[in-house]
Amino acid sequence: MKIKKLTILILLASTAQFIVSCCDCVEPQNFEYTYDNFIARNIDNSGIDPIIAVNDSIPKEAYGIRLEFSLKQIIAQANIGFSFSPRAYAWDCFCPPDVQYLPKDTISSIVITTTNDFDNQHPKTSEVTELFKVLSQGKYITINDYTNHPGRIYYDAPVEEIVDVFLITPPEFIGEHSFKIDVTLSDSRVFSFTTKTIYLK
Amino acid sequence: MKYFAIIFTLILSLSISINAKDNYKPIKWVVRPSIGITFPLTKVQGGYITDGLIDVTKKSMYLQYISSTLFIGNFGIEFTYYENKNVSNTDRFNKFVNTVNNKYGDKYFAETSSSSYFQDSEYDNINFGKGGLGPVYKFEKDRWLVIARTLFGVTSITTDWGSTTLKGKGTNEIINIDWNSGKNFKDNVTFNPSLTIGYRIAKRIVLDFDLNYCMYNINYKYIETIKNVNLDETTTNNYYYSNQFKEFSVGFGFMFVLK
Repeated sequence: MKIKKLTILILLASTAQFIVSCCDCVEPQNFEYTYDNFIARNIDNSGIDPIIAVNDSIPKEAYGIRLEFSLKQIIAQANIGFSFSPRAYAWDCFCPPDVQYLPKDTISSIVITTTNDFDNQHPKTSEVTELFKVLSQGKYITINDYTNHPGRIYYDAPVEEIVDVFLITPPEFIGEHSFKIDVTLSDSRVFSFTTKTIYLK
Repeated sequence: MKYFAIIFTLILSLSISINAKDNYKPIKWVVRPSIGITFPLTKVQGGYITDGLIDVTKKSMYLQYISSTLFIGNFGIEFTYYENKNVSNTDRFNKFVNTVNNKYGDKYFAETSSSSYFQDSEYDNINFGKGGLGPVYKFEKDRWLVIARTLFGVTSITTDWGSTTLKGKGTNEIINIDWNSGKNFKDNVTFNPSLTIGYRIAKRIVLDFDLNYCMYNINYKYIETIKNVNLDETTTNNYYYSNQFKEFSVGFGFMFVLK
């Protein structure tokens, strides 16, 4: 009789554990990443998709700058859960990925300055950030709106982050141009890069 | 083998019935499945880019799953339901994509999508269904049977949505355009006179030939929403469709005399 009761008790405990295991997702193992370096390239958006400029000239209406941030993984937070029954035996669980990469720092601001005379309103060394926009989910948003977004969460080890900014208001006249980009991070670091001189035709 | 068995059964029934004595009672209740072809007599054309998103303009096959008629004397009442499957319409999505490219392709790269893509799939190619109810009158003489009907009902037509993202050739310009009628299905009041000529091949089986005329008003409004992403400006255009649509169907089937 005692054996029968004990068997029922064990069976009940196992069943309960089996059911609860559906909701018993293991906490994802969190890594952190940081912005390590930064370069900027001229892009030609004449075609269906933007490409790195290979020629010395680009149509001024199709000009853009590709911001390439190299990312570095820095910390792993160990998080080991305990369970009698492995999650593999559970029913359809909607658990987050086992590993996620969170930003240690974020981009606080992106400032674009023209190194040549852009137009009458924007002489050499003027800020022209408002003339560029970021394409996000099918619509153009300002660079300021883009930097207000929280940092991205990655589920695979991040290597780089690419942001294309497009010149929405082209210069009135054709000519040679280059742009200095200053990126300020939330930890006060500043990356600067000046694009190659390009002829906007 | 299945078709052979059906044909053999029909021939057997026919031969038995031809030799049988004609002592049929007047029909009181029949059901009538049938199959045939529908020919549109008019076209839905507003001259708009959305013309291809309403599609009742092609020859199609109809399947009448059920038609049930009850008679009191020679008068009766009938309920019928059938669906048109547009078998000649497997590339409607590609045609819509071509229409968009023809209009905008000089200046833009177009990435186009439409629910017609799914309508074209082999799993979901029902374009419109029809249901009707109305009075009928029959003439019976020996093995011959003629039924005239004037049914009223609805024709439910699928209207597809469409959208495209236009990327400027040689520019950063992006324009999003949506076309939507607001409803996936729209019911249209339908007048459906028809005639069936039947021949009794057995006591409870009638081989029949069907002629159908359908008339309904199409009344749609497609809204075209054009959003210039660069300027963050949106404009809309309304495309009105108001046609009287007519179609003619021929088909055949069997009546099963239940009473």
